[in-house]
Formats: sequence, structure tokens, C-alpha cells
Amino acid sequence: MVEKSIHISLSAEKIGTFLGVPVTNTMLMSFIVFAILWTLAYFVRKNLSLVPGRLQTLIETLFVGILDYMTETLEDEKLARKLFPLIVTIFLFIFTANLIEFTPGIGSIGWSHPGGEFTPLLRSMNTDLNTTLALTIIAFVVIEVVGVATLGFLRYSKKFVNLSSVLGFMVGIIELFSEVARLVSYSFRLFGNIFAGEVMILVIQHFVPMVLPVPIMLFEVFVGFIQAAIFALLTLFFVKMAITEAH
Amino acid sequence: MEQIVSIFGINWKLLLIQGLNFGLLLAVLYKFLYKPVLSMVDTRRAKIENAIHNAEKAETELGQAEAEKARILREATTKGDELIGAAKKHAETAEISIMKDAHRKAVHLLNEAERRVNREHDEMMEKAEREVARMAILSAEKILRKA
Repeated sequence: MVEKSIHISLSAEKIGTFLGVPVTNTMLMSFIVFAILWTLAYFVRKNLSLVPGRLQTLIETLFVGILDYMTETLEDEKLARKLFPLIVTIFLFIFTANLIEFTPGIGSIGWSHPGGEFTPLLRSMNTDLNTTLALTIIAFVVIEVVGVATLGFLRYSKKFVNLSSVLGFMVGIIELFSEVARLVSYSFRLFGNIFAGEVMILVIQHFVPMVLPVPIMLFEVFVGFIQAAIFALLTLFFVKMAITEAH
Repeated sequence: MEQIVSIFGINWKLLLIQGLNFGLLLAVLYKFLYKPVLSMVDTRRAKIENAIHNAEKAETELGQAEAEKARILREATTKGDELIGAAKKHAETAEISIMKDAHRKAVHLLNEAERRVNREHDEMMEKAEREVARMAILSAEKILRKA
């Protein structure tokens, strides 16, 4: 046994510096995801026609289905149309990243340091808290902004500052806490799920390198889909909660 | 807190880059995917709506035309019937008057003929009487001469 232990790093590995900004392997990965989605979008757009083909029909059905669901949830067609790009992009971004995380080469191509530490060139995007936290902050800001824009600042803040009774005041404080706690729960849920999957596969590969990781990987892809859907859906639901007046 | 930040490698520059990356992706997908696809769906929906509307309009128009046709046909039939009836009546009255005329003429002719025959008959009788008388006179003269 040459390898004595599995090296697990909670933070993404730095692979270089560009203009004073550290470049990490998850950052590279997110650029790759960006490129993949751009390419796909480009091809879809190029083949778009009034008489739809199979792929276009599929995409249209999905989009219209999602839009209808959003309209139903938000009970506001205009808002649903406005939020549709954000929700779908969140889903596509996370899902694509989770889908390609087991592509051979990701996590295995890299270089070793003299101390025996290994730095992979690419690393699954959502195993970096920076990514998930950035997404969370965007979702959080959007939720608050939509809430304030829909209800107005005073009515929106009434959810958190309620001076009508002691109980109401306490509920407001709890609301405020849960609002901020979302930042943590959102980012750590996605990060934790995907990171745990990666670690589990790493461990299993360490013991049974051949067949066993395959069903686990399949399951992890499923988890990746679920997590992407959860992130997008939770954003939608919290927007709904934000635009609903306090009672 | 500091420890968490360092363990998870949280860096505001990285956060910013990830945020910008996502924002850019959102913009690109909006421009290349969501907007064209949704507008295509909307265009198609508008087109289909228009087509259905047009078909409905054509149908009602067809119905109206059909009703108009039936109305015109009915009117034409009644008018034709009226015309035929009027013509028949006219013909009947004309026939009666012609018959009457003819009858009158015939009676007149008959009367005339009868009168003429009577007159000729009278004249003949007169002539015959005169002839008979002359013959009688002649016969009497002859007899008298012989004797």
C-alpha cells in the first residue's frame, strides 16, 4: 500500500493566481459548466423554428410546464415570467455541474506536490462552499428584493418587526432569524450533499475500486438532480412566502 | 467564524467571481434560450389562436351566407308563384272575354244570316207569287185563244 490515507480537503484547491485573484479548480469547473450551457443554448436557438422538432418540443414542454407551475405557485403570471430565467438557470447550473462531476478526468487529472499532496485540476463545482454560497446570496437577494418590490418596504418589514403584541414581536424575531439562517441552510445543504457524495465515492473506490462505485455514482447523479431541483424550488417557495403578506 | 471561513476556503473574491459567473450565465441563457423559446411558444400560440378565430369567423359567415341563400330562394319561389297566379288569372279573364266576344259575334252573325235568309225567302215567295200569277194569266189567255 503506497497510499496510506484518503486526502480530503473541504476547501477547493488553488491552482494558480490571475491578476491577484486566486484561481481554484472549482472555479475552472464552473467556467466549463458555463461553456457547456452556452453551447447547448446556442444550438437550441439555432434550430428554433415555428414548426418544432423533437428537441424543441421537449424543451418547450419543459419550459411551459415549469412556467405554468411557477404561475400556479406564485399566483402572478408576470412575476413568474420575470423569475423564470433565474429559477431555471439555478436548476440548470447546479444540475449540469452535478451531472458531469463523474466525468473521467475530473478529480483525477492534476499534479502531486513533493509532500505527497495531490491537487486536481478540476473539482466538482458544488463541493466548494464559495459556489453554493454565491448562489445562495443571489437567491437571498432576489427573494428580499422581490418581497420588498411586491409588498413595499413598510409592509414587508412588518413581517419582522411587529410591535402589536409581545407574541407578534417574538414571531417577528424568529422570522428574521430563519430568514438569515436560510443563507446557511441553503449553501450547506447543497455543498454537504454533493461533497458527501464525492467523499463516499472516494472511500468506496479506495476499498472496492471496480464495480461497486457505479450504482453509487448513479445514485449520486440522482442526488445531484434532487439537490438542483430543491435549490430552485426552495427559491421559488421563499419568493412566494416573501410576497405573501404577514397575517 | 474565522475558522469556518478558512476551513471552507471562503474568499470574497471567489464568491464574487462565482456570482458574476452565474449572473453572466443567466444573461446568456436568457438571451439564447429562455427568451427565444418562450417567444416562439407565444408566437405559435398567437398564430393558432388567430387561425381558430378565423375559422370560427368563416364558419359564421358561411352560416349567414347559407341563410341568405335560403331566404333569397324562398322569396324567389313566392314571387314566382305570385307571378304565375297573376298570369293565370289574367289569362282566365282574357279567355272569358274572348269567349264572350266570340259568342256575341257568333250570335250576331247567326241573326244576320237568319234575317238575310228570311228576307230572301220573302223576296223569293213574292217573286214566285208574281210568276205564278203571270203564268196563270198566260195560261188563261192561251186557253181562251184556243177556245
